[in-house]
Amino acid sequence: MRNTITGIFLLLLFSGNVLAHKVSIFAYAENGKIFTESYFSDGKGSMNSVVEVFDGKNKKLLLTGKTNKTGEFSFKIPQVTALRIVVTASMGHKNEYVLSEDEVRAALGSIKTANNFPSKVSSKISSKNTKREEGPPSLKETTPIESHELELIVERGIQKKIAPVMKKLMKMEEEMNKPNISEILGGIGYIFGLMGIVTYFKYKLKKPKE
Amino acid sequence: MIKKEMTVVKSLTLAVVFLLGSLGIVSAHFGMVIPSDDMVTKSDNKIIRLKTMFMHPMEGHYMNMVKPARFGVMIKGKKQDLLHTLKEKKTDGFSTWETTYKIRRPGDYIFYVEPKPYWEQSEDCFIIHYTKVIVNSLGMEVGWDDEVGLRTEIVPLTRPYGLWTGNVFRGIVKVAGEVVPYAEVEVEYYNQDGKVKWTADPMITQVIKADKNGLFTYAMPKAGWWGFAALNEDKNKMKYKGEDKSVEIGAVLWIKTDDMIR
Repeated sequence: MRNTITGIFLLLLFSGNVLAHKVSIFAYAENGKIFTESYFSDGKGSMNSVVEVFDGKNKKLLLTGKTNKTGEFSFKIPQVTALRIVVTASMGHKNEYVLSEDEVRAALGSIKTANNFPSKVSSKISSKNTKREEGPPSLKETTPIESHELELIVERGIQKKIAPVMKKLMKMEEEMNKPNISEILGGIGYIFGLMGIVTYFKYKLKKPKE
Repeated sequence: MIKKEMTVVKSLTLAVVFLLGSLGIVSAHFGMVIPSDDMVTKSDNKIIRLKTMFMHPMEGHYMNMVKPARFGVMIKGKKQDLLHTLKEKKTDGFSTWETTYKIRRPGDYIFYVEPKPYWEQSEDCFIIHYTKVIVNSLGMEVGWDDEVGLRTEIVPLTRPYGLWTGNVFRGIVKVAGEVVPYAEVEVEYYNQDGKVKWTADPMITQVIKADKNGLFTYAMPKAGWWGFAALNEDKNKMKYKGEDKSVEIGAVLWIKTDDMIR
């Protein structure tokens, strides 16, 4: 009896958070890999969630995986096509993100990408943004370089430079995920409330025997 | 007959005088930063256009804006300078500024602009409107309530995107990080197509006063962009032709409302 009640309350406690926020997934391609982040609207990572990767065209399931504690899951590029990436969080909440073939190909360091770019504007922008520190470095920026090797060197350089920034960003995100005082107090409140109910039932069940 | 003509002339003169008088007082200046998209979804174009200008948004009158002192974006507390990306664009013969920006990650993007001081002859003062707008990316609603740390700033208490027409917006007015009790906030609608008409001048700019905690509230009656300008006089003066002049510092925030369509 006691276990059931506690169980129900714990379930309500946990599901509350999930119900209030919609799950989203974001993906980007870089260095031959696809990086995904699954998160709720408040920025919290969606952990232990199933991620399925489909071929964008023929809808074939290519691979599945699970997100880590911060909602991330990464994998090697399985094939150069558009990829539809679907996350399923607890309680059946689903969302998806589609990576275009261009984005996937760019992460493989193909020189072709420059021509495949959808518009003049976007290539202009990415070259403009090489100075920014935030976000993943895109290989689009290195496409005009002719030698494939040189491209890789530049890419590695950017990667090295950006690593501490990425780390910082991750840390900031983690810090944001930590519960604040009101949440902790709320949690303690829940515990006391649960204990009260448990004691009540215990008392009620015992009383008739006396 | 002559008497009648005289009264006509008299009333005409009066009307002209009133008109001229009202023109000077009515117009409220607004710094503006307007993005092409305020909520970037996964199917939206990730490249957004941003324009910044200085104008009377309801009446549609532009003023010249020289290249701003600062223009940037803040993402999860991290600032990025975008001033060098701004390009001048003449609109109705006046200078405005435009740029494009590629959204790369989920989260809230706070775009902010600090214009160079604008000398307003008719008010005998300088005007600096610290202006911001918030763009959400891919449903991660983190960062919109962060303070950029501008000289004066409206800190939203209502999430400044995903608003329906008729929603209430609340914000706190701050100068140098301190709340401003009873701050005056002017509100204007960005009358882009000029279709909104008014019957009397007070309809152009609506005025709210914040409470003792610097908190103001406003309900938006129509879909579109709404500007809030909290105006204060800077404690520092600036020189104009060798003379000390006061500086109006405005904390401006732009938000967008959408109609509920069934």
